Amino acid sequence: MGRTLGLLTAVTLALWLSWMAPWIGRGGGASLAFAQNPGKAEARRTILIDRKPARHWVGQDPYSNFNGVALDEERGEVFISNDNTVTGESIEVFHTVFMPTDRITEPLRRISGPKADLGSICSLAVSPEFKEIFKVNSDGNGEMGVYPLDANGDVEPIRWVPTSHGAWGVFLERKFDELFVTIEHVNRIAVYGRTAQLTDDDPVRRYIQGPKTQLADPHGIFVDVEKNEIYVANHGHWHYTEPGESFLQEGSVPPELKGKRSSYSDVIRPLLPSTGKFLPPSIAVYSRMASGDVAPLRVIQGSMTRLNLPLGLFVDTVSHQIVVANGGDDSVLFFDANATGDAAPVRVLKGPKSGVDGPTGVVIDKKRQELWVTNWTNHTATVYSRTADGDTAPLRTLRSAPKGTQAMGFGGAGVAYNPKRDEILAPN
Amino acid sequence: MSHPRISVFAGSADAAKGTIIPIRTLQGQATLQARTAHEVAVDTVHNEIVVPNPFAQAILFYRDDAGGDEKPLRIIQGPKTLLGGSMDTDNIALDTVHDEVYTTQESSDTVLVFPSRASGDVAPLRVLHGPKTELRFPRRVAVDPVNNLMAVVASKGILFFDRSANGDVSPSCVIAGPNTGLGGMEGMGLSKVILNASAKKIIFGGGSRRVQRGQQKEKSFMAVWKYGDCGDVPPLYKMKQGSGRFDLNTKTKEIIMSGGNVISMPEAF
Repeated sequence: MGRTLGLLTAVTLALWLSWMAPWIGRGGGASLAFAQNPGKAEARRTILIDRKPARHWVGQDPYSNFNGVALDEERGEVFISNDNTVTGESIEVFHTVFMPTDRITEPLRRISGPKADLGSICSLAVSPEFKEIFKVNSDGNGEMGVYPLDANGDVEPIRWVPTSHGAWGVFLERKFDELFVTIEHVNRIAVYGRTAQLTDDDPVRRYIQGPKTQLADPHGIFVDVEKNEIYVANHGHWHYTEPGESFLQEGSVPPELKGKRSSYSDVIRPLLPSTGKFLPPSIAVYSRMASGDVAPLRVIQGSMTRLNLPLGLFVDTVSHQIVVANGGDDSVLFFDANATGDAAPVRVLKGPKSGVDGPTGVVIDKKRQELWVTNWTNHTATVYSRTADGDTAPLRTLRSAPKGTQAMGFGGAGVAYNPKRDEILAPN
Repeated sequence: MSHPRISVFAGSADAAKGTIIPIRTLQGQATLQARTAHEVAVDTVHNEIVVPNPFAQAILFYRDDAGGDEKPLRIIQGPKTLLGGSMDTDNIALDTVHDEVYTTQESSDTVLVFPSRASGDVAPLRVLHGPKTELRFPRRVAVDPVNNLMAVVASKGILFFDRSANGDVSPSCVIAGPNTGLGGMEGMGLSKVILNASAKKIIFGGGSRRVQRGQQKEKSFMAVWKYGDCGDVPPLYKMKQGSGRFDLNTKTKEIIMSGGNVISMPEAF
């Protein structure tokens, strides 16, 4: 009897296990908790939920966030990028000279919309000679868009230039007609002819990239053709990148695999030692024609520099000073163009009167002897005398929002809820 | 997207009741944040927040009330960590029961698990990597320490492993197929999965795909499955307005979206 019961139990268990096998899992620590009835699953009808939000934990910032800035001095126009997704990313154009006011100034023209496809727009450059605007974006698409200088509305670019995800800085060097672009993700400066386009086989004329370069999360870029030098602001977040490496997203096919595999994910990629490290923020200077894995000519770096998340960068070729939008410190720093090592700024524009607040872009209007600063945090662009120093009030302020309005301060990249403190955390 | 920072808002904030500004922000060079931290996690046991920095291949730990230009309490970073790529370490998940921190590495098709109380150049406790894992472009990982489960969002779909899986191990189950809206997601955009341990629910957000210029973009969605669902199983619930960037408020049974929406969704709890 006992043997019969035992046999029955064993047979029943074997049958049950056999029936359950497909759903119990395919090894690797499969858990019985995962067993399920496939009949129920096939019969399941998904309940569609169409529900309005119960509330919004953050308001919709309806005002442009001023980011990058470029000038057409001859026409007296300033071009400012806006990275606010609520308003729709835009390129906004204003007169450089206007009556000082505390009111909002409406742009003369505004490029924005799905055809324009501006992405998470960062820096701008303009070519008055060829009547073109160039924009790069750190997210959204991996291409630089080129627009007519007079464009207004939802305008398609004249051409796209393949850059990369993570493009932040762009500078048009007008004498040799070349565009210089910084790529955050792969510590790279890429150089293109101004007329490069998406269909070109290899639009990159040359690049600076590799461990010798000390490029580390590069942002603002300027080329001084008189000195034959490139200036780049770095945040200091570094990892090894191969010279020539581009940033690949899922779905991309790396150049070396083109025509050989249908996608990048066809292969299991190797696991290698980590190379990441933190370097102090810096300004690195290279020869204009530098190419490949080359060391900088000099580097401004160290505690005396006061560099704190430097973003936009410009060189005043009259005073021979490097002007830096010091984003993490609400300041604009000025360095001697020949400074090297742990050099202190020769002057600092900072303080409550100055209105410098989350500065992102800087540019000098040589014709009017003025300095423009875009302040992301307080929705303004502020204009100063070219030699402004200390806590100097701006000569005039361009506002996209009522005076005193702060930007919401996040980019929607993620979110976490802290139940203990009843707080919502949003990384940018 | 130019200013690396974490902004902190009141959990009960309601924009309809007035202007909302951050309670505090964590930003500045000393914080060591890059602008591409696509995730932040909260450790309610040790009162910390955890933030990845993909460019410097690091995991940063701060006080949970940190603000201003404040340094991390400690950093996991160094050759032994195997943290790699240009964007790999943009994600993290915490197991506060076993004091572990997880991250997927999309360029090496790997899940790395570290002791979350560790600092410096520490080797992973476990490395999930190899052809049997079926991990391709793993984007996000979730862990349920109560039911010993790990879920990974990757190109193939949602892959499930035992929590302590290590090495080249096959998934115990994959949710993917035409009925799921998942799988074969070459070019998948940001997607995320959360395991609701108490309700034994699997909550997915995302599903959009990167497309070539001129192609129609697919929209993200949210979907809820229950533990035990496996294969080409339709979700219990699906919501069109989705996001790969969300978290749960289990007390109010709400889904908090990164864009500011709070959706009451008791079905997920």
